[in-house]
This record gives sequence, structure tokens and C-alpha cells, in this order.
Amino acid sequence: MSHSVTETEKLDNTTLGFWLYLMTDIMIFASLFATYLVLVNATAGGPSASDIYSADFALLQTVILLTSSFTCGVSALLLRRGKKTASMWLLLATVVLGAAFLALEVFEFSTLVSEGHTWQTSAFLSAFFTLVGTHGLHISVGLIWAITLLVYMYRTRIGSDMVRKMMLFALFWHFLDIIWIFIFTIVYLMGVAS
Amino acid sequence: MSRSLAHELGRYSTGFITALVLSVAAYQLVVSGWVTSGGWLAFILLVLAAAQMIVQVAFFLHLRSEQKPRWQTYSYAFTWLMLLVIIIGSIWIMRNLDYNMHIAPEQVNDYMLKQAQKGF
Repeated sequence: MSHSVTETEKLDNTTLGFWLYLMTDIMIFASLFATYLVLVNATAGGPSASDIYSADFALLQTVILLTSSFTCGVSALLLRRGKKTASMWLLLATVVLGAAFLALEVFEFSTLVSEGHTWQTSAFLSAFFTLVGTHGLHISVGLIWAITLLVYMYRTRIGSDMVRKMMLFALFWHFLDIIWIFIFTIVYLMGVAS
Repeated sequence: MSRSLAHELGRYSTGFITALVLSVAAYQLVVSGWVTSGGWLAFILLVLAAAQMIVQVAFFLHLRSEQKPRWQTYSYAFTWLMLLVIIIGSIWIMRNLDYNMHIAPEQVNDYMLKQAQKGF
């Protein structure tokens, strides 16, 4: 019986590790969501949720991130079929859309801060900036990851390693989009409706 | 196992369009003000979000059809248990605390000033 590590075992171990990481990351977001829900009315005389959110703006962000999630999934799909060039174009589209999403978030944060609504204003705003900012931080890391992946794909021949790297990135990016649905619903939509 | 590329692309597109429709529906619901009861609105919005999560997990993450290892199912179930404990537990405890500590804001202010004078 040989004990050489086969390609499938390697894939399974990597997937297991990454899966466990995602599960623990969900715990972080769950804690931040719980914090937000507890503190959402603690405005300390500052603006309340319905004062500072715009449903249109949040919908725009949602559509952009959802589209990037779609292009990312199709990119991984094409790479599994051996279509590297097409896959790279779609990954590039994912990066551009992700950057647009992040730019909108930075714009929203800077607008709030310039109006004097900072994370020091109230417990509600602290919780808001922490929750949405943590998601934005994940998006930033994802963008760096996608760009390094693009460089790697450009310089390397297609192989099972490349497919695995792409699959893990796609998993991460889809995960971030699912987290965003809940930010969109619980923070923005419920905030506007309140 | 090996389905055609067109078939898989179709599956992704279905998931994408369904997710898009669910997002816009949730947005419309809030903007139009059709639902007047705040509690019902929150409930419907959460159902729409959960539906979209299921759509994305099924169509984008392929967690629907193929046989997956048992540890994956277990870790998935465990995560859900922890999520519910953290979120529902926090809200429950904090509401309860709030209910049992009927302090006027001025009293909280006085208390904090006294603490500050003592030094931290």
C-alpha cells in the first residue's frame, strides 16, 4: 500500500482547511451582526439608521457585487473546462466589479465621516462601521487575491493546481456575496424601512 | 457527471437572474411601502434573503447535487447551530438585560461621571 499523496487527497485537504476557515469567518460575521442588531437603536442623539441609508445606493452595490459573483463563478467553470484565456477575462471583470463595489463603499464611508457621522458618534455607528467595514476588508483582500491569481494564471500553464486555486477563490468570493445579501437586508433595507 | 458547458452556463445564469429578481423584489418592497406592518416587512425581507442564500448556495457553490463528504455536512450543520446560538442568544440576553435595568439616561450619565472621577 503506497502512501503517496494523490491529487484528490491534496484537493480534499485544502478544501477541508479552507472550508473550516470559512466556517470560522461566518462566526465573526455572526457576532458582528448580533452586535449591530443589539446596538441599532443606541444612536446617542446622533443620526438613526433611516437618516443615513439610501436604498438605491445599496441596491446598486448589491447588483454590482452579485454580477461579480456571477462572472467569478463562470470564470472558474471555464477554467475547469480548460478555457484559460476566457477564464482570465472573466476574472478580470470580477476584479473590476469588485473594485467598483469597494469604491462605492469608500465613497459612502467618507460621505458619512465628512458629515460628522463617524464611528465615535454612537454605538449604532460603531457597530455599522465595524460590520460593513469588516466585509469591505474581506473584499479588499479578495481583490488582492484575484489580482495575484491573474498574474499567476498569466505566467503559468494550466494544470490541476491552477484549477484548485481558482476554485478556492470562487468559494471565498461567493461567500462574501452571501454575507453581503444579509448586510443589504438587515442593515440597509431594514434601516431604510425603520 | 460531465454535463455540457452550455448546460452549466445555463445553470449559473438561472441562479444569477433568480438572485437578481429576489434582490430587486426586496428593494421594491421597502421603497414602495406596500407592507405597512414593520414586523411583517422584516419577516418577509428575511425570508427573501434566506431564499437568495439558498439559491446562491445551490447554483453557485454546487452544494446541491453531488455527493459530498460527511465532514462537510457536519461542519455545515454545526456552523448553523453556532450562528443561531450567537445571534438569537445575544439579542435575547441583551433585550432581557434592557428590560430588567430600567435606568433613566440621566442616571446612566451620573453613574458614568462618578466612575470617571474615580479614575478607571
